Amino acid sequence: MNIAELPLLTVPLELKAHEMARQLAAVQSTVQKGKRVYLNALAVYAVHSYLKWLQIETDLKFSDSFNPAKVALANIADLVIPGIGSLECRPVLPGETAIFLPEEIIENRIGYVGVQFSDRLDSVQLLGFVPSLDSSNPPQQIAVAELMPIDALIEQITRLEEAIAFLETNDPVAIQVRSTIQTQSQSNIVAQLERIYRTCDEYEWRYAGGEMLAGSAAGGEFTRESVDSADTDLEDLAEALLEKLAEIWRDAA
Amino acid sequence: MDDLDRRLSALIAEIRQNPANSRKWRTAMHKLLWEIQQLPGLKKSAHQNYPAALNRTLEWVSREIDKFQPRSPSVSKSLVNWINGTLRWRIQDLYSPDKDAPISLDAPIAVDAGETTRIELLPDFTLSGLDGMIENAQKETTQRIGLELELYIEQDPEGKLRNSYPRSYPECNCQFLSLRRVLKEPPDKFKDLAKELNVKYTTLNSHWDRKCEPSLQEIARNLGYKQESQP
Repeated sequence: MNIAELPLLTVPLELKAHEMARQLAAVQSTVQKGKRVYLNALAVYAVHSYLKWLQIETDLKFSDSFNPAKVALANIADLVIPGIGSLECRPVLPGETAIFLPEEIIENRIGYVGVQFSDRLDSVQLLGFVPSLDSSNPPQQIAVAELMPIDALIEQITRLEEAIAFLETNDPVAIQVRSTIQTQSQSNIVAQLERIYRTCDEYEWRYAGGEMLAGSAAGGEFTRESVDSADTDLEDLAEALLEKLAEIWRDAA
Repeated sequence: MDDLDRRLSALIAEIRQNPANSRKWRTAMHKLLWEIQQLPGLKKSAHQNYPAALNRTLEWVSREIDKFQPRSPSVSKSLVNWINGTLRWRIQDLYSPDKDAPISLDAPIAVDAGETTRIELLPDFTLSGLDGMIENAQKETTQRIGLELELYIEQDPEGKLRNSYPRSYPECNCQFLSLRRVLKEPPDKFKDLAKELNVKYTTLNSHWDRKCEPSLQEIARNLGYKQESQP
């Protein structure tokens, strides 16, 4: 067997998944929208099943993808991992070679899972994963060939869990972050810091992290201009925090 | 011991040595489940809900693998036997209706329908058959929130959507944006809409996020869509 062509992990799709998907599709305006909703729901359910095998808890009920009104309004396939964030689970149909990323899903996702469908809907395969993207200039699609193996999803979830656990400790940096940041959830901050850690050079951490924390401290809305020298404190904090997290993540890797 | 047996033993050892929330445990479990899927000899069934039996069994493997004791001569063969021991029961469950199930797919639809159960009436689930199945499901559904929302957006009877726009940009109102974002398939991009309306992208985007989206959610609630109808 060619190493590059190892079979993918298969996730069986039980009738319950189909029944839930059918109920969501039945209330949509057109067959086309119904189909979109149906396949999104199956993709989400499959990732939910997979994470259950790994004993990682998810919450379908609080996922927008299982909300009949929300899926009528937007093309979403999110899966909530409580306390960590939302994972987008995008269906890839036979013949397709890329994951389509609708505009509405770029923000607030910890990553994107590609789910391969075939004509028979009794199972799907997990194609791979990409961690969160920079929402300021997102791609419209990601080629399947560019996906990381699904193990990268395990790495991403574990990293975010570790960072959130750190923020709850009595480490002086964690205490300072808790007292400074009130407007955003910790999971949101952690997801953004992880992206900075992953995509920026170490010398950029201070500024990128400071800018992000400034945005959080100011209520989520900020512009580059509003972040000036007065935010040196936040830059110091961001740098200290990223160094702590980098230590945790490097040790574990 | 062959290569496969060595790999399986190493993965099982890794799982036993690490807590279930660690990356080592998770990665080893992922690999073990992958190996299991490649093993020949796992029990099969023609039952339409066989995927559920398989799913429950893999959940069980994840919880109970610590109790697995390989027997000579082969780790892989004894693993298959161990898994089949449970899979057999989960397959049998499919034939005995579960009274606690929210939707009893195995239960007869009506007394006079005799042997006919929902499962037998369900088509085989295929991508090519999906359009027809959804079309039927939509026809059978009297209250369709998706349809009602779209009608509401088109008519905007109270002008709620039409009259919500960023200061001095009346054209960039929630009704217009909803028509282009919700009714149009595929939807227009915010970037293109901003250009068309000569509005800053961030202005349009935040108006959508802060005003239009919440209004649409509220309209959905007023249309009688209840949270409880969720699964």
